[in-house]
Amino acid sequence: MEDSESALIRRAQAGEEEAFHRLVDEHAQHLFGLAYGMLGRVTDAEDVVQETFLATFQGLRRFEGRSSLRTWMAGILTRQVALWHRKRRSGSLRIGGTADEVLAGMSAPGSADADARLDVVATMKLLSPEYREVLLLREYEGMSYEQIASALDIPRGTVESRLYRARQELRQRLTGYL
Amino acid sequence: MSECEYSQQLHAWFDGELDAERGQVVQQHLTTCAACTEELNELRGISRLVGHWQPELMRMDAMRRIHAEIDRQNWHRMERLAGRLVAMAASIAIIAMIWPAQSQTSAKLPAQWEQAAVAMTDDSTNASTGELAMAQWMVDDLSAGGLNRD
Repeated sequence: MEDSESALIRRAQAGEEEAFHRLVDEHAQHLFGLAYGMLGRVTDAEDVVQETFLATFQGLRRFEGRSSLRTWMAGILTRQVALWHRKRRSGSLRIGGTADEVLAGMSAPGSADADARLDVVATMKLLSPEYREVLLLREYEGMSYEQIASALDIPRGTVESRLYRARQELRQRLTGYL
Repeated sequence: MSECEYSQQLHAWFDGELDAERGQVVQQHLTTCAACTEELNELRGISRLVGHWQPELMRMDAMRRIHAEIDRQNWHRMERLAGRLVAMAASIAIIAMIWPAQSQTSAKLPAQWEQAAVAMTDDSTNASTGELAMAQWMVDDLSAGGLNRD
């Protein structure tokens, strides 16, 4: 799998358009999950994923394989999300509805695992964008603290403290599932 | 929630971000701290829930839009490349047209080194002419004198 992706990347870097389309098919859903987690709206997440792929398409020749392509694109997506916030001047706002709206849609604690996952999605929306980003980059994307610091352009210590607070907040809200 | 002073280090250890020495300290601490053990279990729960979440699938029309946009970008790239190639070909054609004309013009006018060489030749010709005249005069004079003396 890894080898075939490497070959696909090399072909895409050489300008083979079909290879790039295949990379899109392979990574789109995962990137969408990350974008949706950060932005909380399907249409916004789709727009950001599209911008991420276009940026990847233009800059793929600069990809040197020091990290996986997935991690590299997650970094691009994180910057696209930051741009999205800047464009809309809503970086400090909570998105995806108010706490009451989100909580009203949550199922009761103790229900099935599928419900738990839905509630995680809803609860994530209650976190601040800064907490959501580090949490998703760590847990969903599997990035190291250094990689997160680089993607978000913040110090490593800030990553550690934000991640700690994000988890504490999530623990309090999801206490019935943990 | 754990109020233990090791709480934040526990998170870093859980993420594999502590060095071996500090990691060993946290591991040792876990054997004696019930609050941190409970927090570790909850961290695993959060990791499982957030790590495997997939809120919903990306819509097919959004996927189609991305592919179409990439095709469009690629087309623009090809157009730009073609434009550059045409410009390059045009430049070469212009140079090819101008070059022979310039060569002919420069062939009519002597180059600087040619002018210098010609100038040197002129000087040497003048010099030779002068020297020849002098030699002729001397021969004539000597001949005349010698003949006269004899």
